[in-house]
Amino acid sequence: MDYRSTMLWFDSLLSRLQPPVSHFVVFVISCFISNSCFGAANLYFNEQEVPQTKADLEAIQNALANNLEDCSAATVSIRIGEGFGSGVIVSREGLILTAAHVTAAVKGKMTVILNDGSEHKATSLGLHSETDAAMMSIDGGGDFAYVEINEDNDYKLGHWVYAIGHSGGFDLDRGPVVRLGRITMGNDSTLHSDCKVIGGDSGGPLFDMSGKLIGIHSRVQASVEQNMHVPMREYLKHWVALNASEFLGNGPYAKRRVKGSGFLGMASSTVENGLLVDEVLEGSPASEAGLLVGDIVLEFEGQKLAGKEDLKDLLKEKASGDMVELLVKRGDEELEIEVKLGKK
Amino acid sequence: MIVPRFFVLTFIALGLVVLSCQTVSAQGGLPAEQRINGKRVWLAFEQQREVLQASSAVIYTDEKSRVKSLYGVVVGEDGYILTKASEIEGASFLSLRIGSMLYNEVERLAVDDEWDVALLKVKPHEPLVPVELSRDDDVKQGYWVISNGSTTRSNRRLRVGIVSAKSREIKEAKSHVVMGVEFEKAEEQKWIIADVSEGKGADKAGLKAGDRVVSADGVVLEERKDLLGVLEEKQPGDHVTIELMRGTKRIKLDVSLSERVARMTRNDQMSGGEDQLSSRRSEFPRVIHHDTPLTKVSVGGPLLNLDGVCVGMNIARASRVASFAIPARELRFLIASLIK
Repeated sequence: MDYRSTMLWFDSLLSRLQPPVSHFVVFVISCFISNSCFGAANLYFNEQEVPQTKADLEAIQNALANNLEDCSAATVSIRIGEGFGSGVIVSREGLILTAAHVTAAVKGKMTVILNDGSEHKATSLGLHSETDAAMMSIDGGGDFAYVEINEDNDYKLGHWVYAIGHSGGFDLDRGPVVRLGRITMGNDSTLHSDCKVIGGDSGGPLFDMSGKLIGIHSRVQASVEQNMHVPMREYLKHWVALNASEFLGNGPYAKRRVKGSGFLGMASSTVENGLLVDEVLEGSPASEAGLLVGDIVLEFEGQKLAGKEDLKDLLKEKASGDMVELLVKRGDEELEIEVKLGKK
Repeated sequence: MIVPRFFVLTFIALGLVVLSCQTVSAQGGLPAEQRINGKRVWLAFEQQREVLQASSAVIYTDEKSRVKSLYGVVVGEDGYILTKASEIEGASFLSLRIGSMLYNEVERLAVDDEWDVALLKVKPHEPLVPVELSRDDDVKQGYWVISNGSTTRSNRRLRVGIVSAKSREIKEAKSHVVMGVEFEKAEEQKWIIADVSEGKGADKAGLKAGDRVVSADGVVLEERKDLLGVLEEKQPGDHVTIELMRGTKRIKLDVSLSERVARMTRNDQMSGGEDQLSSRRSEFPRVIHHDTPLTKVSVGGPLLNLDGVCVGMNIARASRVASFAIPARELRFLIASLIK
């Protein structure tokens, strides 16, 4: 019996019954199907207020263990500069869902680390700065392990769920970390669970017990029981805009890039082949990056600097928070220095 | 591709049942007792709780056996108990409770520094019930594990979690130990304490701003490197004996050392800060990593699976999301080497 005919059979059967009998029939049939075909899909424990017996606990454990390998395989670590977050691959080609406070900007450059330690260049797509939803993709595509999204958002309070993520950053020996819990609260733009998450997990996936993606880790409160996730409906609602690299909303999870707001924090004078650094402000981005008085800045993002005006023009196109690469001459050495621009 | 279609169908069908119930957004929140570590959820773990009742020890380090300091694992019917060594080091009193029986005479037989495990011995009137150690080399990721939670005088309670990640070595943390004091900056005043960090070892031992430190572990302090030399050899959880001058009084104090945290990271803050975590939480040859929300005083006891079999011994609370246990395989060797 194929899917379509099963559905029709279902519809015709249901039309002849009145609720609650129809509900009961659906329940019995669905239990029958899931029991007979796939043990893992038997999620009866979600209908219990609390598990009662060892068998109930085993059913939860088995449902989790059955999908864990596939869910872990699609969970990635994301490195941006010094920071680490997590994400989850949702298409064979390497489309990733993560949190806006992880990617922080649209069209940003970052690195995705798979569980075997292999690294892939990636680019952030769109984000929603008010719900913390974000999308990114692995550059050049490929053939990646991915998970299915629960597009129905049909979870409810008390359903068992599990969180996966690279807590505290990538660790090859440890691998992704899984935590079990239940849905404890939810409104349209936030889903709460008692799956304990921490820094580095941000952007990682929350799964239902059939192994489908239902949320993305966003934030926590002081109690270990209070962990918040962005539900899938927020991604589905804005899918086209996110995929088209749009910046949606106005904070608080990401700030719009404002051209010309970037700041280096050094004074310089024009010399023969670049800019001689005369002064580096204490605590400025230039100082944090290790620029020294006496250095000669030869290039800014690959562009030769013939004078101070060149630097000014190039900075106009950049925003605070952007990473820029400087080619610097120090004595006889040439150094590449990365600077994260500060705010003017 | 029949299989995924069936899968979807199952889900749609269950979805219909769900419609007749309240949806997430309509609710104020899942009652605390139904959360993963809620009272009503714990009831399903009664069989495993009974194992903790019989085969875990409650360890006290105060004179009156009132304040629980730690748990232990009963490993021999003739009175052998394992616990976390660094948490009882320097304690002048030691008593323990198994079931509701209090033992005031507790011998400290041996310590294994590599695993931070101490072997204790009591003299039971009747044979104790040791844990049943798992014969498996490892635990399965995603499987339930059960640990000691809170306790009353007569009843052990529990906390539950799952195995979270691959069992592995936890390497030495880059940081080192601190007493929790800041000295005056001027060279001639370099041994005068300028500030004492609240809640750290020095504060707990009673060191005060203005004290002048004279020696550490008997080493008279002259150069700044003298103190670093003494501390270099120490682990978090170790003690250092500090001799100091307060006015004209000469005072000797035992200071417990904690891990240096270069800067309080956001993850440390999310974990409730240093006080919620075990002082010694790194440098273990192999650990089971689980998500049970233990505290630094609820480690030391057994880690059980759903069959009530002991798969490990809880050895550290490591962060908001992680607790570590010594796996049964290694525990077996450890017991054999400690009980000679």
